[in-house]
Amino acid sequence: MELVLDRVLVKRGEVSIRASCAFSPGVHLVTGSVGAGKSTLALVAAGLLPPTEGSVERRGIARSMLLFQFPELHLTEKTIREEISSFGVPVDGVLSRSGLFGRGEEDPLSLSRGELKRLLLSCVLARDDDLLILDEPFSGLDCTGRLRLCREIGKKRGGIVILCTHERHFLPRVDVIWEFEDHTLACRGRVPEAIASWQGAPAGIKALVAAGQVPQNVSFEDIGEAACRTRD
Amino acid sequence: MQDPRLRLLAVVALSAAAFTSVHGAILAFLWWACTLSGPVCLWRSRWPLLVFFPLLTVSLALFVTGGEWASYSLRLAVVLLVATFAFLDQGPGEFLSVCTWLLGRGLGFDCGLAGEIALSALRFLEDEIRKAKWAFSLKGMPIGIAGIVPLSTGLLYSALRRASDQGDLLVARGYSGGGSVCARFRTPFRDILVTVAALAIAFIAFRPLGEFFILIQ
Repeated sequence: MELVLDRVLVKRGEVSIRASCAFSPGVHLVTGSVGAGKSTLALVAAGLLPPTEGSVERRGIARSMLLFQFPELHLTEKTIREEISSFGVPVDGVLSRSGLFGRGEEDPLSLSRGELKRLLLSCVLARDDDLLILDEPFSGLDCTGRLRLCREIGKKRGGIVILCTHERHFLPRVDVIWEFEDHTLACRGRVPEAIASWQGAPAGIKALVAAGQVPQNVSFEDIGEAACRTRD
Repeated sequence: MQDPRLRLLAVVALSAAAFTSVHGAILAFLWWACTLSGPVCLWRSRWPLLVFFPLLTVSLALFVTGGEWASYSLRLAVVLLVATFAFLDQGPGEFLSVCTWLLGRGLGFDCGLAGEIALSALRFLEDEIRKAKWAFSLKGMPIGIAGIVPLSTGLLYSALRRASDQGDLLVARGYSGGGSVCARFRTPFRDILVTVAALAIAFIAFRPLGEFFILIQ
């Protein structure tokens, strides 16, 4: 199973976004500043936006899903129950996981943005997709929600998970780090080796690398563990 | 057109010309097709053509009831084409600049701001419709009749939320009425020629066709 972007170029106004890469099963962290091209890459990878140049090849990928940054964009139904069903996942399980048990008949637009984000994250994470693309999944969530999401992403095994985010404090354990540099996607390699060469790494990770204590991964727990080693 | 003031003048003149008479509508259409980048604008974004659906409905009703459907449809279609051009050719902030230049920092700024917010909402809507189609596509669902209600509700909801955010932002920035815009307009010679052509069309449109031929004799 593999998603291959072969010399892909997407023009968005004056900006040209480039990517030539292959995503294999595992969790891929795609980072970069706002406007770098993460959301565009997510759309291209999901097959929603055709590239201006190059090609996208899906090898062995039968089912895929993209979670948009803004949860309202996903809504296609009149009730929360129908909305969950539209993702093809068990309704009661998702209602309970997203803390909305007993509210199935309400209009999804009556939920706050945080509640809606939690609901849609529960929907997409309950699916068994070969390719799951999450565009800024942490936005609209509080610290508890972010930590819970990190744990949920960590549980996803077997498929390709592409996590496009500029979140710097709460990240799940990932397998590969990618970074946008001048709107061009660059691979930093597999974790933990990639951490030292991650140019846009959070200040905490950079300080640990400078102190010679490279964390095993980029999650909150791994960074904490490396920081404790520094104190020793 | 690069000068939004001349664009507005040309659009007002052509809309009046097209609405007034059939020959005015034909000349305005020729202006749209030949003089400017109207067809190019439509190629860039064709969704504003949706405004033609209400016109089709009214034309059909006129046809059924035996009204002057051909003349009405032609004249209104050209008015809508010119309006579509005006919308697509306009850049963000231009309407605000023109209104403030024309009507001053008080009323002009307020009218310009209201118009600018409305125009940005229309541009935003185009993007929202595309994303809503993506949402249906991701779930493998066709947008059928049943999908129209949630789709429209979602679009309305996002428009209201955006309006609320914009209102909050204006208050946070201390807006209470009026304001100034430091606009700079570029007026290429081509824009002047095109505007003169539009004004000439308006002049011809307001005269009976026979009278016009007598004038040029």
